[in-house]
Amino acid sequence: MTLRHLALGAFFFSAALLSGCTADSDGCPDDLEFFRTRMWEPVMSTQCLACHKSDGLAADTRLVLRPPGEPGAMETNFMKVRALAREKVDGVPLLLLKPSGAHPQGHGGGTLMAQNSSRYENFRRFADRINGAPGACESSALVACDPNGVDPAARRRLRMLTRFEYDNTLRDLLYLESQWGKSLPAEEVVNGFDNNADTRAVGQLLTDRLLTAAEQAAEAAMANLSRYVSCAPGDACAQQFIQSFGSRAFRRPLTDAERTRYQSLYTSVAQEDGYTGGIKAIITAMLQSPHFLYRTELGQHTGDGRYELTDYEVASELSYLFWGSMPDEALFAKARAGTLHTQEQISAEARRMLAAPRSRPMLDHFVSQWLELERLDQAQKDPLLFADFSPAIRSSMKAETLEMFNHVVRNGSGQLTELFSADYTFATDTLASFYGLPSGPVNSSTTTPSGLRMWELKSSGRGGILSHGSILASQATPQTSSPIRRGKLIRERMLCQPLPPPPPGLNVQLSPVSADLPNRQRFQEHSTNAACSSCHQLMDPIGFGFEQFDSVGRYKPQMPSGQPIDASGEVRSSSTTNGTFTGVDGLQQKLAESPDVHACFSMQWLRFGYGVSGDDDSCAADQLTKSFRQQQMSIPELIISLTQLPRFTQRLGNTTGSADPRPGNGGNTGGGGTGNTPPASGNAQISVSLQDDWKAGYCNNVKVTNPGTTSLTWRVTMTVEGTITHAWNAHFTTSGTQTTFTGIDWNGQLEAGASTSFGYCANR
Amino acid sequence: MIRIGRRQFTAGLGASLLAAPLLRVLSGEAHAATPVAKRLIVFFTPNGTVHRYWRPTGTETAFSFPAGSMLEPLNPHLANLLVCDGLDFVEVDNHEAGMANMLTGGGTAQSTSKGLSVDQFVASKMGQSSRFQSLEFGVQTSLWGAARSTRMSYSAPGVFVSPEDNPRNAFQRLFGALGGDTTTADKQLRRRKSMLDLVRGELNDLSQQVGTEEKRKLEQHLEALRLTERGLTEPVALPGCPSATAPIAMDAMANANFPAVGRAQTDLMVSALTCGMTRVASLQWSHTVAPQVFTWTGVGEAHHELSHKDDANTAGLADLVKCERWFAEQFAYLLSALKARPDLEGGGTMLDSTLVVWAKELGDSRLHNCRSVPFILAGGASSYFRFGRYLRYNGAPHQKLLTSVCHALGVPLDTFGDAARSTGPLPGLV
Repeated sequence: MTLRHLALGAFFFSAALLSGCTADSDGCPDDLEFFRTRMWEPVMSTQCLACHKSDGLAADTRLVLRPPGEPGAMETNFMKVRALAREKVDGVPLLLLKPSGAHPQGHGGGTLMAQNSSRYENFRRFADRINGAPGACESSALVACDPNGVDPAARRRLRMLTRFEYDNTLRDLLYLESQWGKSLPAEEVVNGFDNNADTRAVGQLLTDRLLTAAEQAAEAAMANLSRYVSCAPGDACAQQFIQSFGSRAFRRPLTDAERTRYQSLYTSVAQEDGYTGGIKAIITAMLQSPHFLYRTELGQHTGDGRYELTDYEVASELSYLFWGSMPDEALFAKARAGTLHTQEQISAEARRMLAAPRSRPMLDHFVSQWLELERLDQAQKDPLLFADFSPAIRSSMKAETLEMFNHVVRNGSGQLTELFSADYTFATDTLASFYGLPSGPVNSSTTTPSGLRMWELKSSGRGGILSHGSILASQATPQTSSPIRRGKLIRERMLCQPLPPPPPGLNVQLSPVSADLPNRQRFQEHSTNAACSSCHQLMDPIGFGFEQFDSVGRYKPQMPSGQPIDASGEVRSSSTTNGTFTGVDGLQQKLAESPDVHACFSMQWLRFGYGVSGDDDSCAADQLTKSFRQQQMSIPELIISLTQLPRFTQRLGNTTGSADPRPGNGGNTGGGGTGNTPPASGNAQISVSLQDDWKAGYCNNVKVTNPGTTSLTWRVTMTVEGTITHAWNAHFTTSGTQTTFTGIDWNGQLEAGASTSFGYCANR
Repeated sequence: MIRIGRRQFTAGLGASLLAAPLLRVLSGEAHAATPVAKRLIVFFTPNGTVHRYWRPTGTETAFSFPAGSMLEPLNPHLANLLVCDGLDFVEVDNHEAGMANMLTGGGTAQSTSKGLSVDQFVASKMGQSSRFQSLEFGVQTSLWGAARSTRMSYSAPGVFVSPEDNPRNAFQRLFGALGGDTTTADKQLRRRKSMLDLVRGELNDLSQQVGTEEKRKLEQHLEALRLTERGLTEPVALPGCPSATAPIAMDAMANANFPAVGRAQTDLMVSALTCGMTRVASLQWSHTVAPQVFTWTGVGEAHHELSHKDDANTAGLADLVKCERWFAEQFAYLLSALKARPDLEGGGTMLDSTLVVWAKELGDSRLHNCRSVPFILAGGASSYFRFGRYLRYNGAPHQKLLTSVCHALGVPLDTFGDAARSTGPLPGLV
């Protein structure tokens, strides 16, 4: 670098501070807004700020942010972050290198965003704006959250059934109890939820197990054959079966091509093994079909790259949201009639489904994941200290929390605040005596199937969901309470503020557990050592409020010595929740009133309901939170609201252009217009349509029609641009520039006038 | 009875043996040609170590594990060990990152290793003719679902390969196809193939209606189905291979069953390898931040809690040593099991021609960093490396070890993982 450059650089650097301009660019007019909505609020104000603040672990780095709430904090933070976007190492802005873990010296806070994530993409766009990359302002223009517009994050996608949904679906489809889902490999968990559509990885273990499950389930289903079709066994009945069973398995009517496929599978198997063998093969294949295993959110093109989910797709969205299973007959009927796409139509169904007892497993599934209840089963306890913490107590504790949530939603006020303020609970008699509840069960209370009754909690030291043993015992060590784990649960699950990993190279061990030492004193080091305190102050002071509850969730307000246990606590670094409190009760009052908690609770439902991480869904999240507040924090209304956002039924696709013709029901036409059909030879008529094109490659679909008056074995020779990577529904051989396609077993023969189709993809 | 398929099983073996001399020329090794290993096992245990209880005493060729130390149970196997001390994960620290880097070396789609973990990379090169390209066995790896902290194998950048945690399911998958008469089996195979063909057609059709990201998912699904189908058509097992015993039914997730599940999985893994069902296998014990309490060794705190006891806490450290000795006993059991089985393909024992890598995700557990991460390799006369040695490195990047592991399996490449952090193999192993 020459002297002149240096001088210029210095000049522009100071100018930049004054005017907001850079040497290369003036930035974009809405940079500050972009920063606020895409970076500060969703990521930096929680994740970066945890360490990058004046009293934080990263206080001696160049990024020291000011906490939200301070006047001018946003603007100051914006300017600091902008400077890091300008500073580059090997041409890459520091702003991108650090949080993605790509900086040569690493990042003390770990890798916070993957390089292909949308968070990273937002950071990259920000850097492009700041550095004046051509077109940066236009290409990343902020799209306002139009209440009636398509959510910019609503991609057309596929959602694979989770293990929970797989078992529920098999039960409803085959009328038998299914455990097969449990034997599949565990889902990729994102923010505590198992249904993130983008991360489910399909490997051989999964497809092997799906094959086994399909075969075993089909075998078991044969005992119920009469429930599927009532016709007399034979080929005609098989056709009927394909139609009726298929439309339930695929959650929509089959296309002609699909019927033909399964028909020929049936025919080939039935020749050898007769009718039942053929039916069994159909079930086995359908249970491995992508149309069974994935729910589609593809929709019909309505123009300009917008897609509207079909009525059948909406039926599945509803049934999996509320019941974790396939649609029932009533939903299918509405979809068939085409009366399942307006907000009113959807709302009516949503209310029916939520009210039905069948929504209980869904509520349970949500609560289990939200509060990490599954960890209770394997939470190890010291058998010498807690001999009476039996498996029965564990399962009663879990049942308590599930029952209470269900009660608030169905029979109580429905409000989130009731979860925190309830002066009653549900307990088995064993659990009530384990807790030592002084009052008896509520007079009128009836026993639930799991043996629970409603109990008053007067003078028990308990009240609200956070005093449930299920949470307290899960978030504890085998010997004692754990302020860290309990504080972390509140921070992550109630405030949606994920914590950074502990800094490496730091070993702080707590003093041993002792009967005479108040537990909070064991954590002294966390507050005196600055390296620890910047993160632990986010957890420990919240967790201290739980100190009156021991390792197994019993209320123990006194030390063995008789001294009262200090249960004072504090919430820090969460602007609308900050402040001191005493005991779990005090904490719950705080949380019930906190806007942070309200926004977080609706975010958890958004994650659970839409199968997303929530990182990219700021539009829908804002809309959902707003509606939650308007409905006085009503949980049932929040769940219904999920179905009322544009995000529920509308999707954005990559293509632009005209709309698909509104299909007849059962239409599953696929996208793409008819392109130019290249010269071809052979014995059939063809028409070629482009399915997809990504410059480096493309895919074509080819419709083959027998123009003659007799049956024929079709063969098509044509010029294919580039190199074919794969083809489907046809075999191919290439000779020079010419490729010859022939049919496969089920579509090789074409009756007079009949059509079939095949396709291929090629690299250019 | 075992059904022997139509294809010759040894088809893939010849290729890797032939490649060995050429590889040696490429990698500049001048030693007498030790054959490359036929199989790879990755054995994982969590939460780093405390080096002073881990290290052997002695010299490179005359060393042993002191009485009371973590690895004392390995003393009977010294001649088969290569103890690698002092390898670093460059620019990586902490539980999750350690887990994610341990077998990938920080590779990305742009790396020669394509961001795969070393087991998957090796499997993609040498597993083509096996019934299973690779097999992953887990011991309570999925209590918290699949995540960066609970998975170590990657089939693509960011794409986890999940282990089977349930020995009964693993047994059914591996040995369920044994027995039955040929006619029935042939018919079943035909049936399954025609169903899979149909499903494949549907996947291809569906992938024409979706955008790029969904297409990638469906391509993954298609690839998995391809492997499933290959697993059906390849011979079930080598002639003369003994069937394994069906594991007893138990709750595979219960803390108390950790030892029993681990033992059953080890036995199944050894059987699957002996029977030639695969050439690459892994056994993952729990995951980083392991919550199990090793009550069977008489300790009362979770493994992760114990791994944080500092030097002043002698009782706590003694408990951690107990847990780690127990893991060492499991590793010793695996080595004994491999020694006890004949290599049905070429004589000698299974250990003679297998490379076993005991990997961990952290160095000093108390500091949860990835400096001096302990690695132990094991094998025999035909496992490429020279065993029976204790090697001390001074912060050598572990990418070098991963590169050497590939070489040991006859898979040539210059660098495994992120080439910006390190290139070339680890010196001194061959």
